This record gives sequence, C-alpha cells and structure tokens, in this order.
Amino acid sequence: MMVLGGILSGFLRGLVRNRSNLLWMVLLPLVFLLVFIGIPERSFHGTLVGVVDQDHTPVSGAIAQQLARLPDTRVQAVNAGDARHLLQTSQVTVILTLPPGMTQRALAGQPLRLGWDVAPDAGAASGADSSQLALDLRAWLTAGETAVRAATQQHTTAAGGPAAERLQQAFVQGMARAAATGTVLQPITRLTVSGQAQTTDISDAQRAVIGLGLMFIVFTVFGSTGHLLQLFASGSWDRLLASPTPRWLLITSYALCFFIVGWLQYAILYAGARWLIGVAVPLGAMQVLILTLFILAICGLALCVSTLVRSVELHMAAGSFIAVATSMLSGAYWPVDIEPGWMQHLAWFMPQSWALQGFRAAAAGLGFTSAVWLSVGVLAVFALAFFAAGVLRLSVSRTRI
Amino acid sequence: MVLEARSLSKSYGNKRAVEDVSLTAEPGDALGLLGPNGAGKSTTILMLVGLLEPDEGDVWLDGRSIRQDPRYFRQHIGLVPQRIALYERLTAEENLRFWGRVYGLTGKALAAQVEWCLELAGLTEHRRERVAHFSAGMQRRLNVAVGLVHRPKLLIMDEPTVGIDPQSRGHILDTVRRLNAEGMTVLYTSHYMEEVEYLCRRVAILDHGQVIAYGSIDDVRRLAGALSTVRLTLPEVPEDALAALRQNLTLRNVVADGNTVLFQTQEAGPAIARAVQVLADHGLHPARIDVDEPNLEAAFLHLTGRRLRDGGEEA
Repeated sequence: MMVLGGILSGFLRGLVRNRSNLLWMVLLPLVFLLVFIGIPERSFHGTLVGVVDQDHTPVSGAIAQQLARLPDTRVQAVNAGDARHLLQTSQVTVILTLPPGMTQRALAGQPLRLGWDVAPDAGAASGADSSQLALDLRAWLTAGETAVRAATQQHTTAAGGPAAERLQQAFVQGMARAAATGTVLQPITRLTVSGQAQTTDISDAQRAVIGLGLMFIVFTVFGSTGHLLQLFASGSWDRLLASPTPRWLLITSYALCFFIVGWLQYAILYAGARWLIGVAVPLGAMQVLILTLFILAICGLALCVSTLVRSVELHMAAGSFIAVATSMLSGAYWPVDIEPGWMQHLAWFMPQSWALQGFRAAAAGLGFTSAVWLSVGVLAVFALAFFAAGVLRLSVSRTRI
Repeated sequence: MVLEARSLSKSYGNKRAVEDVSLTAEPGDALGLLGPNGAGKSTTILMLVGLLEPDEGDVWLDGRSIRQDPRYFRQHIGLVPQRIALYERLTAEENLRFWGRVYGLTGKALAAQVEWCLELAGLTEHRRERVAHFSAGMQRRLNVAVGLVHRPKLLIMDEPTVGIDPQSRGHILDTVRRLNAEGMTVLYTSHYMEEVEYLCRRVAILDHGQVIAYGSIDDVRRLAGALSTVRLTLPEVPEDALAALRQNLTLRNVVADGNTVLFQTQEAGPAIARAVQVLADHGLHPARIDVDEPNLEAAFLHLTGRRLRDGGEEA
C-alpha cells in the first residue's frame, strides 16, 4: 500500500504541477462545452415570425397571439416597409401579412388570403418548421371560419343576425380550440418508482456532453499514459523494475493512476456541464458502471499503444487520432443513425458507441434490461481484452536502461 | 564474496552482445567496468541487476542466485542509471521519499534516509525545489543519492558523471569513494579513465561483449607494456596523413580523435621526430605535442586499438 500510495501521490502531484494538463483537462473541455453545447443551447433555434398587421382588429391580434403561444416560435410585429429587408437579411424566418379588411372578409364568410413569405435562405429545418406552421395556421383559420358560420346560422335562426363583436369572438374561440388540439400529443414520459416523470431518452445536449466526456477521457488517458514513455526514456522504469517492488504492483499502481485521471476528466466535464451551461447528465449506478468499464478499456488501449510507440509525441498523436476518429464513428458528435450504413457497422467496434448506448438506455430508466446489460457486457469485454493486453505488453516489454 | 557473475552470455537475435563474462567483487571492493560503446557494459549491468535474463550463466549476491532469489538482489543493489531517472516535477525531497517507499522504507527510517541522502548529495538547501529547475550537476547528484536511499550493499553506477560540471563530478567521485571506504561495494562504469583510476582498485575491460582484461589497475596498466601515448594536436587530420603515419612500423595504434592524432610507441623522442616529419610532408605542423606515460588509457588503446570514447552503439 505504501508503494501504491507513493506512486499515486507522486503521479497526481506531477499531473497538477504540469500547466499543460490544466489546459488539456480543464480549460479545453470547458471551452468545448461552452462553444459546442452551451452557446447553441442558449441560441434560439425555432421559427421567428414577423407579423405585418394591417387589419388591426381583435381577430388579427388573436392570430398573432396564437402563433406566439406555439413552442419554438417567436412573433415580432413589423412594419410593412421593413418586412422585405428583414426577410432578405434572415432576421425573420417568415413574414405573415394580415391584410386590411381581413376580418370583414372572415365575418362575411369569404375565404381569407393572408401573405406568407419565407426567407430565401431558411435552412432545411427552418423551412420544414415554417411549412408546418403554415398548415397549422390554415387549420386555425378554417376552424375560425367554421365557428363564424355556425354562430351566424345560430343567430340567424334565433334573433335575426349576430353583432360583429360576437362573430369576431366566435372566430377567435374557434381558432383557439383548433390550436388547443395541437397540444394533445405530448412527449412520452414514464413514471419512476419515486413518481417522478422521466423522458425516454437523453436530450441532444446531454448526449453531446456525454460524447464530449468520452472523447476527452480518451485524450486525457492517452496523455497520462504518455508518462510511461517518459519513464522508459529517463530510465526511471528500469529503476522501478530493479527495486524490490513486484512488477505487477508497479503496473497496477500506474494503471490505477490512469484510471483515476479518466474519472477526474469526466468529473470536470460533468461539473462544467451542470454548473456552467446548466445541462445535467444522469449519473446513477449504471452510468458509473458503464463509465468505469469504458475508462478501463481506454486505459488498456493506451497501455498497449504506449508499448508500441517510441516517443510521447507519437503516443499523443495516436491518442488524438483514436479520440477524434472513434468519437466521430460512434456517434459522440451526432446521432449514429444519421451515419451511412458502413459507419454504423464500424461503430459496433467502438467502446464509445456502447458507452453512449448504455447511457441512453440507463437514462431511460431501463435499469436492468437487456439493452443496458448488452452495453455493459460489450464494454466489459472491451475492458477485459484491452486491459489484459495492455498490462501483458507492459509486463513483457524489454527494459531500456 | 559479495558479487559473483559466472559465464554470462546474452544475444539479441543473431548478435552476441555479451559472451562468457565472469566478474567477482569482494566486500568493500571497487570494480571498474570499462569498454567502448557497444562493448556490452550496459547489457552486463542489466543482467547483474536482474532486468535482463542471461541466456547462459548466473549471478550470485552473498551466495544467493539471482534466478532463485531475485528479490534479495533488488533489495540489496543500488542502481544509478546513466540517464537522469528522476521525476522532474517532484522536488528533491519528494523524489527521495518516493524512491525510498519503492524500496520498502517507511516512517522514521524513511525520513532518516531522506535526510542522509540530501546531505550526501549536498542538496539539503534545495530539498523543496523541483528537479526540473536543477542544474545538470544537481540532477546527477540526486540521481546518485536515489540509488543510495536504501543503503545498498552493492552500488552499480552506469556512467554517473556524464555531462556535468567539474564541481559536481568531484562531489560524486568523493562521495562514492567515501562510501566505498566505509564498506560499500561499488561497480563503476565510465568513459573517463581517470575516474576509474581514482575510484577503483580493480578493473575489467570489455570489448565486443568479452572481457579482454581483468585484474588490479596496476596489472591492467602493465598490459600496455612500456608504451607511451603521444598526442599531436593539428589544424586538421586528413586521411592520407593518417595513412602515412600508420605505415611507420614504430608508431602503434595510430588513431584520430578530432584534431588530435594519438599513437603509442616504445621510445617517444625518435617516434615524435618521425611523425612530425611525415606530417610536414603533408603540409601539417603540430600546434601541440603531449606525451603520456603508460596508464590505463594506454592499456585500453593497446588492447582494443580504440580510444574509450570512440563512437558506436551501446548494446
């Protein structure tokens, strides 16, 4: 235990005293969190609708208010003169023009013709959103027109014709009822034992944080196992082997150091995501198990590589390549479903993809089901194979006095 | 007898790095191991400390075989590698504590040994400074101190004074000599003949993996006979001038070392006159002429036909 403690404290002291480690383990991950997850999360991704209200009636006002109530939609009142410029400069996604006399036509039972102009460079997502919005709007207007017709018939038979205000009210209420039906479909949730609602999947932001965490674990573990190459080069490894401390204890102690560094890296990202950008990633017992197996697998892989290369620079280059390439293939940057088939097949061989899959299944509350255990099992195989290979290679590698 | 190595042999692939090397060291002995690069010194040391298993032969420490009791070897041998085998982000004291723990020291024994080593290395005042900020000499001194932290019976030093200032070199040599006088057995390899002559009573010369001379310093010196070593310092040493010198049968072991030509001879005076004449024929005039009486370097040159610091890869 003295040797283990000595190696651990010496290693961690050296880690903290190396300023470049602060850059790699703390500053860079936090910058990545902010730039790639924090800022996009805070930006508005929905549809920005510019409303040119030339009618100025309760009906036209109600249309604008109804639009504003939609999720992922913002409404901005604009002048007719500015509308074109705002659209061309993409400051709004859509311009909705409510022409003068619109309400009169609606109350007279005539079909409504509204202006609907979409920005020319609206992206695919925005374009799709605005098309859906146009359909929703058309449905509301139809519902409003139907409500007006019903009110007209009712009042015609009862009292010889309704007042204009009453018809306007009928239009607005009909439209509101139609809009309300649009909220019938909610995201599926399930209740946990404690009674808390839980969504069935992790959010995009959570997935990105986990992906970033897994990638930085690879970077950091490779960076720290590069320490072994420094020990080889300086002759310190030979000096350690020439001591009475058994070789297995030396290797285990250093492997534990690298394992702790991997966890430390994830903890930094976890805390950064929670406190810096407000994204809380689930971390239950199953996620801890998944991460532990993943870090063990990466430690083993890094140990293997450290015995194959001759310099710290080569080791770090290999680590960077593995971190970036496997993260891309395994869906750490984007959902693996959008990758081509051959890339999805390759992802089966990446520990990250199994770790991500395990995280998602565990976050869905699927604690002890086959989906989670499959990920855990595959990661355990990766961990066992890589770690055994790494330790074996390190223990038989030639001394270099 | 503290150390006995008998018929050690080791090959790397088809290359025979060490062949039939036998050495002994008595308690309190100081044995020098000399040889040019690639002679097999480091391979021999690796086998002596148990980092490399010999193909043939065995090593005994206090009568215990390294094959049967490797832990005893590791507990009682102190290794000072040629490179600075330290943790440069740790302080001198932290390094000594770390290595002390690796050697099984704890508590007061560890603290006492750390103090002793710091004092021995002359680094007590710098104990809280990181090794990365040390001069090369200070690093070398700490490198030696780490090899002593567990007070080994046998100290094996592989060129411990490479690339340091004369003060640190002198400090290391004096320290090792004092420890040896107090009873510690020392096995010392170096490129510097004068260091071996200063520290050691016996010497083994290795060349091409074999021991070519082994005995007391005086015995090995005598192997060179009465040959003196002459050094002629020239502006340059062209190959044709060197070839002309080698044709003269009275000049033996003619080699070039930078701008210096070395040769050995029975009678220095007439030989120098002949050599100066040959060089003059090639338009060369020595700026300086030095004559060394028979010494270890002369013996080495005589035995191997090479200077100790000639180039080549170490096995």
